[in-house]
Amino acid sequence: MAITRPEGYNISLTIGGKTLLGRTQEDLSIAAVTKTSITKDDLGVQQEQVVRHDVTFKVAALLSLDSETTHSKLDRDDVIALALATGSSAVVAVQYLCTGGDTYGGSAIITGYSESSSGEVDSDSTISLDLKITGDFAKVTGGNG
Amino acid sequence: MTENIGKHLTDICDFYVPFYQSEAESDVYPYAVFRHTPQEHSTKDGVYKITSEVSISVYSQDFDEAQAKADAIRAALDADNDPRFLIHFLRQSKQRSEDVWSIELVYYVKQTA
Repeated sequence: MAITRPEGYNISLTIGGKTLLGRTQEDLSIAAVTKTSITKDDLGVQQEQVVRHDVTFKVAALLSLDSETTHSKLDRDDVIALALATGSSAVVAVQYLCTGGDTYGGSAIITGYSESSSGEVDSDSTISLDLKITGDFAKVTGGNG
Repeated sequence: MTENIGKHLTDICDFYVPFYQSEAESDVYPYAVFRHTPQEHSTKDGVYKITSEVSISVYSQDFDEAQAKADAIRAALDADNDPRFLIHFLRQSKQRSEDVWSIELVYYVKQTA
């Protein structure tokens, strides 16, 4: 069995089928939410049970604008539009891909958006996006794995 | 993206004074030597800029000539409007060693295409 360790650029998060323009960092976090219980049969030892998972993403990118009418990637203005959406429009389909590994997908909402810019010569302005999976986050049939 | 900072500076400065990278290829004064260490900056989609702190040293046995050549280089670099490059002057220093004057110009250079 060959072991591979994909480079970071082989891992990507798509939002509505598109990656962010100028992306530099994509972080996935899966946190178990547990319920603590104890019965007399547990003889004084608390039991922990996983009841669900909180799945979140954080994406960082250079603040980038695409002058083309048809965007193949999400630029800064596309992301702000998504971040300001409400109701059912605020739910986006996401897929998390890793070359050579499985692809996972689900529905997500954008829980935060921020920009950072400074007046220093040639400083890069950056954007940061936080997403939270709503519902299932599961292996996508037909993924790389 | 291929690094072209050295070529771009040479294209501009070689008009005013023989312009060499790293070391002089002639012992005829005046001449200038530039040194730089390009650094690539990447997104996940590839290199989006290359930056470098560039040191340009002008050598002459005559101070006025060295200063004039350095002034000409500085004016030419300040006037450069190639959109692929940002050339930002940082500092200047002068020194004399063994009857040769050197004037060093230091620039921050960014290449984006």
